[in-house]
Amino acid sequence: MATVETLLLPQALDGQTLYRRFVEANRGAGAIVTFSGRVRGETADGAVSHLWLDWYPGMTEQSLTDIAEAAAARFDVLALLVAHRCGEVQAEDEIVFVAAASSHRRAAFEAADYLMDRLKSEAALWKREIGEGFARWVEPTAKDADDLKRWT
Amino acid sequence: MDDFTQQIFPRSVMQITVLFFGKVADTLGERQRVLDFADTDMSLFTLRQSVLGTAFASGALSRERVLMSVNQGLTQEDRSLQAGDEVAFFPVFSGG
Repeated sequence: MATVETLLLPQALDGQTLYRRFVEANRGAGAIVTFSGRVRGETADGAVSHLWLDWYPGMTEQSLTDIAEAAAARFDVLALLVAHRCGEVQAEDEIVFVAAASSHRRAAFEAADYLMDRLKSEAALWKREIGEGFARWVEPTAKDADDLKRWT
Repeated sequence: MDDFTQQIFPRSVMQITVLFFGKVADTLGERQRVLDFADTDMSLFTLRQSVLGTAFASGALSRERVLMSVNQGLTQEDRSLQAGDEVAFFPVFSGG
């Protein structure tokens, strides 16, 4: 069974540090794929200064664990790491970081892709975009729903 | 129900903690409410109507876009409730 680690972080997420730690813990892996998601500074409504990511203590952590464990069961991976921010996240800061280690590249690519598609729609988080003169709660898009269907 | 709880709340009263997140919390202007019900035969449907009925009627919230959980597990409106349950109402998720 693969090693699975999930982190819900109210403070800064540092993907580079997580990456180095992940590599160190998986020296035998032939393939490591990572994804770093960042807060876009621009949307259709204008410039975003920061996000507020509301969360449900306990349930949110469990949702990250459930998604990561499903990925570990589905793909031939050695280890998975999911780190997600909560609370206030500034524009251009990292909001999510995932890493997948495997013996071969395909499973690592697919596991990272799957993790992100599920996190977008199934992580128990609620995103609010705040910018100059506007603030709005973000709902998942039709594209997010389509992305999720790729794995059913 | 433990002894301590029974001393404070007679058997006929059911206490439920209700939590709100995201746009639901914003719309109601609160994140938590503790409710006492005289009726112990209570479904999530009835609770949702009593807490969110006005917001649904005014269009401030959409019934289809509000999910619910009991004791941190997603569930449906026909779920019956027990004293001490933690109920939460929140919008569909938007992570990543």
